[in-house]
Parts: sequence; C-alpha cells; structure tokens
Amino acid sequence: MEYLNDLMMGFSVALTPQNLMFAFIGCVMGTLVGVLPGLGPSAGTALLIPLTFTLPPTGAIIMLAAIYYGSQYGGTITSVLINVPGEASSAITCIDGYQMAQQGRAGAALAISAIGSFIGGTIGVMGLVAAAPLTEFALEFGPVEFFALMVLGMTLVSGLAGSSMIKALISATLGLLLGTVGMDPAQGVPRFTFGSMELMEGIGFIPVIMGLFGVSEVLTNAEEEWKPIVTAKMSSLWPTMQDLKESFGPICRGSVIGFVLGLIPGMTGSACSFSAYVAEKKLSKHPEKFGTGMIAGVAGPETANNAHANASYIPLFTLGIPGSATVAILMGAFMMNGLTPGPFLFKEHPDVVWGVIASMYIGNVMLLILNLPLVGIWVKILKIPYSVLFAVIMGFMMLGAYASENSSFDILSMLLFGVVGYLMRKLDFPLAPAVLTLILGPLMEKNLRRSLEMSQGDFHIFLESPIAVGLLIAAIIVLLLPMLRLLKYLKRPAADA
Amino acid sequence: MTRVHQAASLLIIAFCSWVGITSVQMTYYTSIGPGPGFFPFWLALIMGVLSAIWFIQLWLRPLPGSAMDFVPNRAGCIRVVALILSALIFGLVLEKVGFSLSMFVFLLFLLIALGRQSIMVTLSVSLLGSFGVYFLFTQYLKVPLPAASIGFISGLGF
Repeated sequence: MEYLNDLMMGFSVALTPQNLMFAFIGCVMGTLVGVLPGLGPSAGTALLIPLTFTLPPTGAIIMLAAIYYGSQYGGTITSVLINVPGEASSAITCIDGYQMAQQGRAGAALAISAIGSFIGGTIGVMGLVAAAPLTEFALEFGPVEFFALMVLGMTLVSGLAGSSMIKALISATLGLLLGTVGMDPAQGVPRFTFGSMELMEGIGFIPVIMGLFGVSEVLTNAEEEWKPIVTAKMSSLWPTMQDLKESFGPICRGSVIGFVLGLIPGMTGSACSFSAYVAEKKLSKHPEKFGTGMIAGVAGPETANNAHANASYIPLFTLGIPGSATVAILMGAFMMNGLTPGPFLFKEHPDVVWGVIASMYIGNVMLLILNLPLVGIWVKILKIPYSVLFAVIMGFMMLGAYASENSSFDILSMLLFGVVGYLMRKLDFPLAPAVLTLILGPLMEKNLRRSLEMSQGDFHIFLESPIAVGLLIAAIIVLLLPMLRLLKYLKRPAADA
Repeated sequence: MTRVHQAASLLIIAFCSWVGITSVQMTYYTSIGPGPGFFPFWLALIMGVLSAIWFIQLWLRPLPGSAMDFVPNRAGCIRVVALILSALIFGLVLEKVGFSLSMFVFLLFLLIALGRQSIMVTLSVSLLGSFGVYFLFTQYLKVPLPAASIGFISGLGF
C-alpha cells in the first residue's frame, strides 16, 4: 500500500505540464533515434544529454528515460519498412516484419508491434513498481556487499556482452582505469592527469560516452558508401481480427521473456528479442513459415524488447547497478544531477524516482499515439539521407561535448574516445562494459578501499559477509562458464586429430 | 587480421605496463589501507594478463582474412580521416573563431565534401545548425556558447 501511495505521488509529479512536456519531447526524440538507422539508443541518449543541461533533475531524467524506451518503439519502423534495424534489438523484426511489408501488410506489422511494445513496456513498468520493496533489502548493504555486488554486475555485463569474454573484460577494465583518472578521492593525490587542470576532476563522462558511442558510430558508418533509403509502401494501419488473435500469445510470452531477462544486468535488448523470436518459432504449429511474414515473429520480439527496456531499470533503481550501456548513460545523467541511483534514492529522493516511474506509464501511452496515427510522419523522416544526417549528428555532438563543461578540451577528449571506440568496434570489443565500469569504477574503488580500511588491509573481510560471499561466488561462476567453453573448444582439434 | 589483433594486444600490454609502473610510483599502501596507486595497479595487472591471454588465443587460433581487411577502402579511409581532422580543427579554433562561424564552416565542409549535398540543402542545414543553434541555446536554453575572441571576427558580430 505504501508503494501504491508513492506511485500516486509519482503521478502527481509526472503529470505536471512541465514534466508531461519533457516526457513527450523524450518520446519524440527517442522514436527519432530509433527511426534513424546508424544511431543506436546509447549514442542517441548520449547525444541528447545536452538538451537536459538546463532542466530540473526530475525533468532531465524523465526526458532521458523516455528517449531510451522511445527508441525501442522507433527501431521497428525501419526494420519493417526498409529491412534495416533502427537499433540492434529490432534486428530480428526485419525477418518477418519486412516480409509482411513486401506483402502489403506493413501497417499491420507496425500496429501490432506498437501495441505489443505498449503492453510489454507497461508490464515492465509494473514490475518496476513491484520490485521497489527490494530496496529495503539493499539498504542493509555495507561497503563490502556493495563492492561484491559491483563485481557481480561487472562480470555479468562482461559475460553477456559480445562474443569474447576476454575482450569484454578488457573493455570493462579500461572503463575502471578511466574512472581512476583525476584527484584521488581519499588522499587528494592527482592520478594520470599529466599536470592538466581539466583532468583534475576526472575524465568527463559526456565526452567519453559521446566519443565511444556517437563519434565511433559515425566513423564506422563513414567507411561505407551512403546509399539512398528505399521504403516499402504503407498499407492500412489497422490489423485484422486474425492478426490480433495470432498476436495475443506472442505478446504475452514476449512480455514475460523481456521482463525476466531485463532483470539480468548485461542481458541486451537484442538477446531478449532473439529469445522471444526463437520461443515463438518453437511453439508455433507452423515453424517453417517463420521468415515469410508471420505476425508472431514481429509481435513477440517487439514486445520483449520493450518489456526489457523498462525492466532493466529495476537493477538500477533497487541496487544501483546499470544493466546495459544506455542505462549506464542514464545513471551518469542521474549522477550529473547529484543523484546516485540505488536503494538510498528511494529514501532520499522519492519524488524523482516515483516521478520517473510514473512518467514511464504516461510515456508508453504517448508512444502508442505517436507510433500508430503518426507513423506516416516517421516514414517521411526516415527518408532523410544519412549523407545529411551524419553532419547534423557530428555538429550536435560537438555542441554537446563543449556545452557539458564549456570547454574545447572536452571536444578533443570526445574525439580521442571516438577514435578509441572506432578501433574497439573494428577489433570487435564490446563498448557497454567500458561505459558501465566508467560509471561504477569510482564507486567500486571507494567501497573496496573502505572495506579494506575497515579490516586494516585484511581481504578476509569479503568472506565474512554471507551476502558478499554469495555475490562473489556468482561472479566467479559467470567468469568460469566461458572459460570452460574455451577449454572444450581448445581440446577439440586434438580430438579431431 | 591476426597480426592486427596481436599488435593491438601488445599495445594494450605496453599501456598496462606504463599504468602499472606509474601506479607503483604513487602511494600503494598506507597505514590505514590502500593508497591511490593500489586500485590502478591491480587493474593494470588484470588488463595486462587478459591481453596476454588474448594474444595467446590469437596465436592458437588465427583469425581468417588479411591485415588489409581491417582498413576500409580508399574512399572510406578518406571520409574517416576527413571527419576526424575537420572535427579536430573545429575543436581547436572554436574558442577563437566563435561557435557560429566555426560550426557553419564545419557543417559546410561535411555536407559539401563528404555528404555531396546540393547547395540549397548545404546552406539551409549549415545556417540552421550554426547560427540557428547558437540563437536557440544562448537565448532560450541559456547555455553559453563561445563568441569569437579574435578582434576582427568578433567585430563582424560572430
């Protein structure tokens, strides 16, 4: 009951005209980010942070959260109409969505995915409310447990990101190292600052994420020839009764799959939508028809990725662990506004947390309206050639990097990390672990050092807390699983021989 | 391709060595607990070991393709280098030339040289993205953007 009252208070915050406007702008921007191929949700959210510089903290977070879940809606439009996913989690929708468009059923595909996204997103938010009591448990955590929790979060994100665990861990360690740049918080000694005043407060979060995600994405796209976009023709938007009947089961299953997987830090939206697609194919009476325009192949994945997007806030809000790169960026935005996500946020700033949660309900309704009747407008925007778009994106990133601290140094810093991110992409390094640990790094170091100060340097302190032991064992299991697979893989040629 | 990846792993090992040595030169441990060098030292060690494992993995299982596959084609290379250089120049001149003029020239270059857009599209996007954005951010969003610090340019109103 207490949490229901809190939610009502959240609605009173979210329903103010100002916050409604921020949610609306975020939904529009998010859909735009999703619609535009070559601009993923992480890059898009990072790119749009400057728009929130002058906003009050609650408004800024409402807008950025809306950009994230809005991008999940928008990504479908390109998957269905041009066979190019607007963002990774909509990639699987291309298979049946584009086939439906080829058969003149693009409208039905988009309508079902918008309805499914709405239901999945709403279930994700309801789960977020239901998970709020978890914060009571997390309030018992001390530095030892928090350090162990961050180790687990880091290993989960590294274990599930990309194809190589080693590369993901290198990426995570890079983020942690970047987090150590600047003045040492305990002793006030400068670390890796090269005498630069700009580096004394650490490497700017905004230039790093804009560089790693935004600039590197533009540089990667610049390698290829930019071709004009050809869209499939739109048909009537309204799905038939048969479409609705066939989508009911996939939407229910997609909601559950997306929600459950969204709780696991490191589980990506694309993994959720892929799992939902595989589940639908396995449960279908006609699995052979998947890939020919089955509406279940659109409804399941699209529902799952939106349920995932909203459920991924649960680890952030309850434990302070961001589960994905975009959520890590949002965590950075919280911290820029002087708020540290985690169990204490519910106690210290309930208006912000519940306001943001309530705004997600409202945002999902806004997105349904934006995506159904206004789909024609998005199709028109989709026709903006990338050869124009890249210049606008670059210009906006330059502006954002400068405006974060009013310093050209941040532009140069962003460019440097843009090149680093570009090389990491080329070498197949996942970027998400680096961003996650860049955010968590200073907190992780603080908790490690506090723990060791408490025990006067004795590492056994991590074995004295049952919670910490449990979390560390879970982290070790996550680390060992791919190593066992690697050992099997290395043994294979000998067996073959 | 294997050589490129191995070279990258060696570069990371070199970077970790530098971080490790620099960390040890800071205070590693104090009477009350870990010093400023403690955390980065262990991170450098872990990252170095991981890179060494990556190097060995590549040695045991070479990647398909040649080193040239890593480099984009000539036109792609030109676009990537031009983007980086133009952005670098923008960052260097921004506070001297001012936001409006430097952004206008930056967008003009990107749209003409790399985007191959018509003069109408180029001019509209460049004007809106530079003077329009300057006006919006300084007047309405109250985000300060730099005006020109060079006398004759600031005299022109930039």
